[in-house]
Amino acid sequence: MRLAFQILVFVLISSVLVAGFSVPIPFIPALGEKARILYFHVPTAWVSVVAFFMSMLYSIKYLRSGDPVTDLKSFSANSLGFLFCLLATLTGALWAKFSWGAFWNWDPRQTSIFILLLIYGAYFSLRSAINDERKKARLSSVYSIIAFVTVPFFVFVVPRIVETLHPDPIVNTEGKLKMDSVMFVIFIVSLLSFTLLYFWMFDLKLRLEKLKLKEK
Amino acid sequence: MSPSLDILEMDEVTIKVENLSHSFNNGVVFKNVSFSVDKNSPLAITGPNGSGKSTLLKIITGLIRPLNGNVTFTLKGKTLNESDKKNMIGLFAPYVNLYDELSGLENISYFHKLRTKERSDLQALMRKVGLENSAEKPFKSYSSGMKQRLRLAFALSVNPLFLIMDEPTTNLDEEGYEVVSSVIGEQLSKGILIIASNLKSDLRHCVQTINIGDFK
Amino acid sequence: MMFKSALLIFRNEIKCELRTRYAANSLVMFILVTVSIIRFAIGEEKTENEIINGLLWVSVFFSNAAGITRTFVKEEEKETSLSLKLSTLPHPVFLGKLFYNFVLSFVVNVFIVVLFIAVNDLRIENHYGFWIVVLLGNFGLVASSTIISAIISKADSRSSLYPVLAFPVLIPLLVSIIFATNLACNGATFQELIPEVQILISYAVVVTTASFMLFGFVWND
Repeated sequence: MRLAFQILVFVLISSVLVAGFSVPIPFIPALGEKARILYFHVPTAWVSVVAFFMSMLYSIKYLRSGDPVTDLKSFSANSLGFLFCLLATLTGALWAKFSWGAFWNWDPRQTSIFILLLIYGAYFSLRSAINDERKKARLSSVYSIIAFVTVPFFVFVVPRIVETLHPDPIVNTEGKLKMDSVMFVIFIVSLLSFTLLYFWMFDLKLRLEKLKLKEK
Repeated sequence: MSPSLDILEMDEVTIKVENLSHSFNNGVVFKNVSFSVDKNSPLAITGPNGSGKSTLLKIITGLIRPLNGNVTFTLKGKTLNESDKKNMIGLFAPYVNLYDELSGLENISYFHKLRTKERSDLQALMRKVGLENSAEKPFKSYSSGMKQRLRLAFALSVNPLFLIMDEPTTNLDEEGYEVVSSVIGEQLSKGILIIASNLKSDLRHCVQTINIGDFK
Repeated sequence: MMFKSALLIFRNEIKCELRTRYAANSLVMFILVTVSIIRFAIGEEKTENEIINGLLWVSVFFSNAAGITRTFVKEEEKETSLSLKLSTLPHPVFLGKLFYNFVLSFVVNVFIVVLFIAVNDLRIENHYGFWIVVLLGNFGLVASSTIISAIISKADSRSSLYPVLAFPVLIPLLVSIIFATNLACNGATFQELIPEVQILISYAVVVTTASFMLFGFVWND
């Protein structure tokens, strides 16, 4: 069962990688071939948000149950979320360079993903500052939840204050997708594959952490 | 909420501890501790230094949540909730510190007001523990023996049905020791008494004994 | 009973503070030093008001860090948290300390703003709007700081944890406050400030509620 899943993910990701770089895309002014980064940037950003959300849910669950495995799940989700967030930031910076000429210009969307990175970083700093396992789990869960409740503010509120150059923000004001149908297919498959890849990695990470816990 | 103590039946107050287990990062503190205490059976808790006596007391008084197990306080058959416990439990222990900036009397008065709506003669209490001359001096100016006496006053200020002592004669001179003795004597007819100590002299009145070393 | 206890705790904090004068001494020095450093850094340059306002809020952030973290850290260091835990439930403790932090923070912030007007040449056109923003923003500022300082007080190594944990959580609030105060400095009417004021209020409500509900998990071991 697990093997079937792994093969599926392998096939999907490989096809996305191949198609992403070889399938011809329609003419996009000013970007051209560089628009391909869309296939990788959006899914990684999406995954980092999913991971963040998952870790918050596990944090709530941990506070109610006290089960150390639930905390490990939260930790694993956060670890992977951090990784994907880093990737999203880097791919976003590349895209910024292509579209706007600079890798970083504190555009609100860029700033938001940077803040998410800071939140992840804070979570890990907090964990490393506490030695007792239960305390570590408890306090980092509380922080996770507090950080999460402030996220809607900078996702929805800040861009309203400052104009953003970022194309089609997550809450799409027009509600329509303006993508070519071929690109759209590849894009959706990429979104799906990265999500599945995340779950695969999450499973691995969780198993690793459980083993570490058993060792103690 | 201390009812008239004369009309209490012998087994009206109990503390029941079931399968209490706790560990810190460096290992198990104790496993499956179970016992029951009522007015007839003041309990002594013994064990070498660092074996977990204080941890056990902290768990019983609700300062630490145990890994496993329950602690139940009952009064006349009714289980006490967290709020009830605040004005019925007195913990007399060297690690219970009071505010340096406040005077002895101010400290006792402050905590007393937090714990109960009843009025009490706190001046008399200060006299009882032998601090009537230093009642107005700041806690930080107290000697270690005086601090210990104030801690006793802190524990006694709510006329507790459940009096729990951890190394009660630490830092006390002969006079202080007498005070503790008389308090112990009084508590035997008032309610429940638990003393953690290795000194035979502290544990004279105890009917049952638990050695933490037996529960590793 | 909860509010009465909270009030007792609040008054006790004030009493202890008046006796040690920690805020009066160290915090005031901290603020004076910060404002002076900024004064020297700007020098004779004619600086945009927006920049001065931004520096104002940077000073506020760090001064609050210095002042607010004390309430919980002191309890853990002096080990008075045990006596408090034996005497009352978590919620009054949270409310009492929150209220104290609010008063402390507001006094500190007013002091900093006044200094910036006097020393660093901050120019404000719509004073009413400015001060209302400062007041409302203070709620959110204090709510976040209080829960985070409670979390930090339980950690083993605390020194630089506060800015690391507090900054990401406070960014939405700081951005709104800075934007709104800039508007007020430039003469925006109160009407124009309303969207930002709404953000400040909702942030305060959301964070205070979440902190209140979660505080028990931080306070109880």
